[in-house]
Amino acid sequence: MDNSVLAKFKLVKGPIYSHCFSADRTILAITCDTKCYIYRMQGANSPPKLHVTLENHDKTVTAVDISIHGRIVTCSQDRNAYVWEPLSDGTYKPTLVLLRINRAATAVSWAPNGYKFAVGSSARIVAVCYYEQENNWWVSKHIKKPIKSTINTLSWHSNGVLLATGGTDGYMRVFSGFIKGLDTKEAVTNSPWGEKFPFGSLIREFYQGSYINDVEWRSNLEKIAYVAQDGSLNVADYQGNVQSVDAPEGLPYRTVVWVDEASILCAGYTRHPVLFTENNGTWGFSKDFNKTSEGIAKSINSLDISADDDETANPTFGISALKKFKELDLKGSVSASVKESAHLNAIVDLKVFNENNGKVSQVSSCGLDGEIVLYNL
Amino acid sequence: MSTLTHIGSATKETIRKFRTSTSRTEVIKALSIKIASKPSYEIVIEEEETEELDEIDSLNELADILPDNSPRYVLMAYPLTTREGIKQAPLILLFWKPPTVVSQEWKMLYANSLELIRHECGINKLIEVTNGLEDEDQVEELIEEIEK
Repeated sequence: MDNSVLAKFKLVKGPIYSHCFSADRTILAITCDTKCYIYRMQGANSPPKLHVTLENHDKTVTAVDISIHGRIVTCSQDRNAYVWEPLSDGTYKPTLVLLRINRAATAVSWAPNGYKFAVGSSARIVAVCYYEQENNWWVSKHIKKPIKSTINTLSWHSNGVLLATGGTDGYMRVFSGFIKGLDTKEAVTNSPWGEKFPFGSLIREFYQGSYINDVEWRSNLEKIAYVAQDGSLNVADYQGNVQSVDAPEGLPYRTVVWVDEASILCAGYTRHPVLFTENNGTWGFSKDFNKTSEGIAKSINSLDISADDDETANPTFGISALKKFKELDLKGSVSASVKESAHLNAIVDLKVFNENNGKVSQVSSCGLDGEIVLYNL
Repeated sequence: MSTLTHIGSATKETIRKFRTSTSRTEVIKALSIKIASKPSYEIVIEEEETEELDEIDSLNELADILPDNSPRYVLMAYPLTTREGIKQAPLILLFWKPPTVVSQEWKMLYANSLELIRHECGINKLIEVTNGLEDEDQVEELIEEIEK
């Protein structure tokens, strides 16, 4: 898979927990420690240019998201979220959103229409925030019951009402995030998930058992894919059926993204993306992208060829002794012929970069190594 | 007494009528009062909400009708039957202050005018509702408060 990596950018020295591209893919936002960096993309072959740094948070920024209108929302362990409005001169104006939570915020996601966003937190609350014209302020409404533990991940359905959440209590839940005045009843007519969707009501819950690391809707199929810390990928539908498949390498996935109707891409601690496909209704492993190749057996042979030019006198005895000492040095190490995967540490976030006709052709990823990598599928 | 806000005479008239007409009511009757925005800051009856409040059977529906981002004063006649069997409908003022109110300015205005309204309505009891009545338990707690 040599051509699977389209671009690799090492941007910062610390881990990047979350990244996001703008709708036209010219702007990249990444989180690093207490700041959020905004870059201007200059194509796949030149490194992105740092455009502006957003630094209002006091503690680690845990997530960032960009709406379809270009507004950026960041949330942090300091229990706050800021909405950054792009101004005409290229800078961003921050507005504090009072989340009213007493623990860290862990995840944030704009609704598809860009007028509200949901924030997951360690306070066992999901806060859905929207802008109130009368008060000129962002208001946050809480979803509390029956969440029992930290929320790790959120995903909005394309109708902007159904919100899937995953957390450390082992449950993947679907809630209603319907806001009177912002959402219309037409958005949810004929939804197979139910009839009435009052704000904060639990529509469905699926018990998985281990920490849910990432969740993502496939709206047109009314299905939800989620990955958990026990190394499984699960797909749930509105009838309550769940199909599971385990990661072939045993290490859990941290992030998941739908590629098309029957393909899902996951990535995590194995440092390379893995594709799963559905055949005859069952999900199974399909292929790896950019996996580290195994080459230890080959390495000793290649060194063999290159080193022995100077051993002409007394060939047999001298060469074998030299070879023996050289091999001692090599035992257990990996030689230069082994290809490393683009990411040197776990991949924590995958996002769709490019898609044609409903099928994703390129994805972007960020990892704990401070790199952003674009993959071709 | 606050001088920031004032009650118009039409409002005073409506309140008086409410007090006299609901003294023997069998169902819950309520009046929704709010402070109009700048520049007048006059205390007025919130017409739409009052109409909707006319239809309610129980306090559960209060949360659906009242706004969740603005405070309100709800003057309510709540029918009770005492232990001796006497039917009463005492006047109760609910100070509706949900947690999602963001503006400090409004919170201050409403808190300021509370005494004014209380005096004007001549009520029996004042109850502050600060939890937005989001679920059944909270409504029940409210009912217990009223019936004490």
